[in-house]
Amino acid sequence: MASDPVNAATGRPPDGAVPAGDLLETEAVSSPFRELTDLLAPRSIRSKLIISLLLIAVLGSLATMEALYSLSKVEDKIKIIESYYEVSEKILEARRNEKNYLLYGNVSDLTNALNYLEEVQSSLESALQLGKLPSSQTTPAPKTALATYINLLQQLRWQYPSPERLNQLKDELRLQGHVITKMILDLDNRSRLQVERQIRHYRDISIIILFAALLLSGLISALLVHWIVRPLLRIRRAVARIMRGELSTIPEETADRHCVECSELVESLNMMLKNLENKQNQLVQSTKLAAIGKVTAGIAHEINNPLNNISLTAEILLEDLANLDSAERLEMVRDILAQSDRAREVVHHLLEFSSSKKTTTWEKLNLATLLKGTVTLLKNQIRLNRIEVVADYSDADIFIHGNANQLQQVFVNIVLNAIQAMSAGGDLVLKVLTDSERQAAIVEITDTGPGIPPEIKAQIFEPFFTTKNEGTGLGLSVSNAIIKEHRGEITLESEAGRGTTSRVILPFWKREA
Amino acid sequence: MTVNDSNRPCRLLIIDDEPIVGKRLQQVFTKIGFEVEIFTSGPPALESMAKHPFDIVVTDLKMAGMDGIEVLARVRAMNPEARVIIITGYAQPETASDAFERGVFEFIVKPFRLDQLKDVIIRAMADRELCRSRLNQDR
Repeated sequence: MASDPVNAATGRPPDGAVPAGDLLETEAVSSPFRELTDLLAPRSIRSKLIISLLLIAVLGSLATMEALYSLSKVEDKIKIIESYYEVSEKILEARRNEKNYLLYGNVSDLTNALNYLEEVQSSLESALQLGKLPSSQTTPAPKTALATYINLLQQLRWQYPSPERLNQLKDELRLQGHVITKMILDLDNRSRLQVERQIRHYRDISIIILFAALLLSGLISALLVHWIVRPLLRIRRAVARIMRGELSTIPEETADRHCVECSELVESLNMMLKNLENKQNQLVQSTKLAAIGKVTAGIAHEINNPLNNISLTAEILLEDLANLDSAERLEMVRDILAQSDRAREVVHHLLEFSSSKKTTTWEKLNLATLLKGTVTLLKNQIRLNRIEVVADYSDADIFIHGNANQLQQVFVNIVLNAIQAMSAGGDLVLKVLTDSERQAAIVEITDTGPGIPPEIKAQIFEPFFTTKNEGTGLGLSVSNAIIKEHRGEITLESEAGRGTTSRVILPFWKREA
Repeated sequence: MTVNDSNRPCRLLIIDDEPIVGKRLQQVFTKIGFEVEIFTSGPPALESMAKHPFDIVVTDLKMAGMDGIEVLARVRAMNPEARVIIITGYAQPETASDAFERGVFEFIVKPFRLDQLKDVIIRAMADRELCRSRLNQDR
């Protein structure tokens, strides 16, 4: 019975649980290697949180750095666009002067055009330095085209050619001017396209980082839940089972190796449970001593009476040995033996009851035997209160699993209460019943006392609650704790003026699975 | 009834719910000239006493039904001359003083020696001087 829940507890839930083998392997790896695994799979909640926060910080600064880099790149591209724009503006100025010259033949227009073109040359130089544009097959290299154009203008300006040559040069100039314009417009266009493409590229990187951040935060949350919340939930379930009495300690495997704090929590909880158990045992022992105190007078009586019988009989045997016939002697010797058995039985039950060593032994117990022992211990109290015991269990062989000493204490407490309730005599009915549905035995102890007043019924199991001057108020509360530990239950049923029925319900003894 | 005949045998009543006590004491005191009647509870003993008074009553204290103190009170009421000796397996001091207030002759704690009881009975007889047994003839 006791081993069953423990086995169930060692079986970990299949999802996410770490098999015990892994634990051993981790323990076995050498220390630098373990530091690495610690870093990858940290063992404490603290390091897990730190690593998670670090990851988030790294990701955040990565995103910021990318944004800054993109911004500076875009700034550069805007400068390129601006410089090409400047180049194209100046080219258009030069072309306007060229057209004026072609229309009016004014040489100063050529000089103006050449001035503009000089500026274009330096602007183009700096624009090309800012960033290389992809070369184009359709247009010639800008520098050579510009040089040809300038050359034509210089020939027209300085060489004073013949009229045929002049017309030929003018045609070439018109053509070359056209080429230059087209080329510059194309450059301008291509630079814009390139900048747009690069901006799109940076935007894509930002989106990728955003998705990575979302994914990572999801992953971290899931892992934190897995590492922190689940061990805590498992501990909570174990604590609930302890409260139901199915377990006595939290199994160590409840917290997994990924949560050092959880293992520490389990350890402290178990230590606390152990302390509580010790305190509980002390309490059980002291209430038992209080119960013994109550029955001392009765026990002294129960021992002194057989002693008196023995000494009387022995004295007469000694004095009258010669005058007694053999039948009389035999009877007297038998009386002596019977009376010493009686005294021995009382002492045996008393010792059994007061023993503190046996509080941890759990065994298969016969309820009828336990009740008989209880009645023997309290025989004198029962007799002196003129109480008639109706025992309805003599042929019942009903077994439960428990600690004989503690259960005896419970029955002594309940029967003592019943006796004290019947100070003017009455009937004490003891029954052992079975409840096949609950798979439990029921010990029913009924008195014909005045009953429990309804207003104190709720407090009756509370510690230190007593209606008697000499009572400690711990009897029933400790009994209740003992029966709970046996996974049973105590119920009280009382009717004013009619008496009280206490029922102790205990699960049947089962062959250990 | 010849109450003042100091030559008649002493009548001894023994009440104890332990049958062995009555059996053994009857054995002993009959042998030394007492008229002994034994009972294991109070009421039939008092019934018998109503018919034929006893000189000395030895009663157990703690008995179911009627206890020794009640026996003492009834005997004192019925026959003030009778001497009552209480024997008990366990007694609180207050019970003892209560018994003395009610006029018990002596209080003996179990387990007792036979001589102890004999001594008390001799004293009771001397106190009463109404009956005889071999006990007072010996002295």
